[in-house]
Amino acid sequence: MDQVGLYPVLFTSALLFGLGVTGVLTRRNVLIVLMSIELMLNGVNLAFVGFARHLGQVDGHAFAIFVMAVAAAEAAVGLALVLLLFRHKTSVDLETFDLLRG
Amino acid sequence: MFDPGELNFIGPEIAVFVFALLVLVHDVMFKQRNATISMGVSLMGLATAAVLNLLNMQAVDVPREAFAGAMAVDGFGFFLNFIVLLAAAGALLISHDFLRRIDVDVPEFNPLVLFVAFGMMLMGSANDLILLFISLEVMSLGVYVLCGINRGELASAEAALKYFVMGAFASGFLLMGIAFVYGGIGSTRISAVAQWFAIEGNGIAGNPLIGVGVALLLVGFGFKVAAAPFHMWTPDVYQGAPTPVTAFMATGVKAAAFAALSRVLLVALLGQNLEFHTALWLIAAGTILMGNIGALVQDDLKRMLAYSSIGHAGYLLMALVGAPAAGLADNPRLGGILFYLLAYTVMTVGAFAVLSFFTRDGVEDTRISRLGGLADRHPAVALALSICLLSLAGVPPTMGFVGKFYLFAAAIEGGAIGIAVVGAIGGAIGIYYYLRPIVVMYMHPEPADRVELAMNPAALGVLGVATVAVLVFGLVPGSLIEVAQDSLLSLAAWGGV
Repeated sequence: MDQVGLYPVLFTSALLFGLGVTGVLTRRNVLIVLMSIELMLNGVNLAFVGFARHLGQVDGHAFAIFVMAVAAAEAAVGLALVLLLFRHKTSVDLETFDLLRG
Repeated sequence: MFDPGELNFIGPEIAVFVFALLVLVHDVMFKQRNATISMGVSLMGLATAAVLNLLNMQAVDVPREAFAGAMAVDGFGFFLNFIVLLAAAGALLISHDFLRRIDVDVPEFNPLVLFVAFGMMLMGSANDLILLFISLEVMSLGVYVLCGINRGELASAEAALKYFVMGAFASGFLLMGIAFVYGGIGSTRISAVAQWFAIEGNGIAGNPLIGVGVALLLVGFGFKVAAAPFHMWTPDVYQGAPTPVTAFMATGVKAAAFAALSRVLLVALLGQNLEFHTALWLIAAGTILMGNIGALVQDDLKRMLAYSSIGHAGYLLMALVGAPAAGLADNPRLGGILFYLLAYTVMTVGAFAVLSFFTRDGVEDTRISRLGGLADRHPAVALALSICLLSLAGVPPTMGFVGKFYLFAAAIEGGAIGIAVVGAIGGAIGIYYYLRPIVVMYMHPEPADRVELAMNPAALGVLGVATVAVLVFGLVPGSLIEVAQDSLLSLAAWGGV
């Protein structure tokens, strides 16, 4: 089996996470924001798996499965909320949701 | 390996979960569901859990691990369970008549509250960062839905989406922090992290993995407990969510998230690591000031209470800054953290019980000006709300005063004089904005277009119990303070501080 070192894995993981964070902070479309959050969580998964291989443990692999389950549940709730707001506003643009303003 | 006897330790959690399923089945099975039965069974579940929790508390003298170390069985967790159960019971009772008035007839409300309480209780006793994360998500996913439960109202839906985006974003940070800590230490057990830091020469300096991990962890927690500079979502979400849900978020969610944060900080991170004290100092000062200054200019009582809840998170962080390096036993006043979480829960639920009366044609109207003339129309309600608000402001002889006294004492005894001064400034600002609604109630005339208060026995009962408790434990806090201190000291069993 080809051995990939820890650092390339961590680099990719940080890249995915960073892309996700950038997406959440800059995008206005709620669906893209949801996808960016998933990207962040996938970056985390990669880090868990990379660390688990580096440490020679199984724990990290199991954590990645936990995270996937949570991410799926999160996506279900998130899409339901987007649908709910779409019925009110016929839009998925975050800028249009401005009823509550500090 | 696995000892079935350990299931006793999650008896309260199991009880809440099973009763939640019962309520769910009942509500879905019958077309004409009986809201009173649903409420009764939900409350029975909470009561059962409270009894089991009390039995556990008496049975476990020495803190111990359960489930291969994933869960810590200690007084800290037991105390938090009581707070969560109280918050859930308060929210359920307030919601009973409220949901009917705003025309939300959904079977999932009561089970969701119970599921959320289940997550909160696990969170308080999690000794493993992964269990902590899972229980935090069980709690958060339920609360997102509860926020948007009033589907017909745009504000409710908007609050839910905002909370969801912010919450999921924060979870990502928290999780990345957990991953890095796991990578650096090789374990996600909080007690293992404590042991790692206890080894001479191990620290953040020289271990970038752990430094980054801990920083991400703090960012994630910062969002969850609404600490500055991650507090921006709080006022919008608290204002948009239906009042009983806001009450639950302000009390239960805050208590559970803060308990988890306290456990991580007190067991694993504070102590030897002076870097954390500085970071925590800044966060605490920012949180106190942002919360209290923000609350000054609000015209909506619900929004004001949201800002004030940020300020209260700040006071709690202030006490954590005073955590001693030498060992928890050095500063038993830290027990004030648990006492204050309980006090905050009681007085906030009381205030929100009154807020829930202010609906007009199925829409909430909680502007402070609506309170005008309340003292003439309903002197008892006005008096009870005044007592709750004065307790939030920290005026003696109330529970809020005793709690705040212990928080300040913990900070000062821990040598954190600077932050205590910031806290005192925040408290002084607080007195001003908490007095404003009281002045309106007693001095201002009724608004011309007044509506009858939608008073109902369940919420009035919550208000009465909360007010009496605020006064009683304000006058004779002795035994409760002792329990809180013992509960907090049980954390010392896990090493670290």
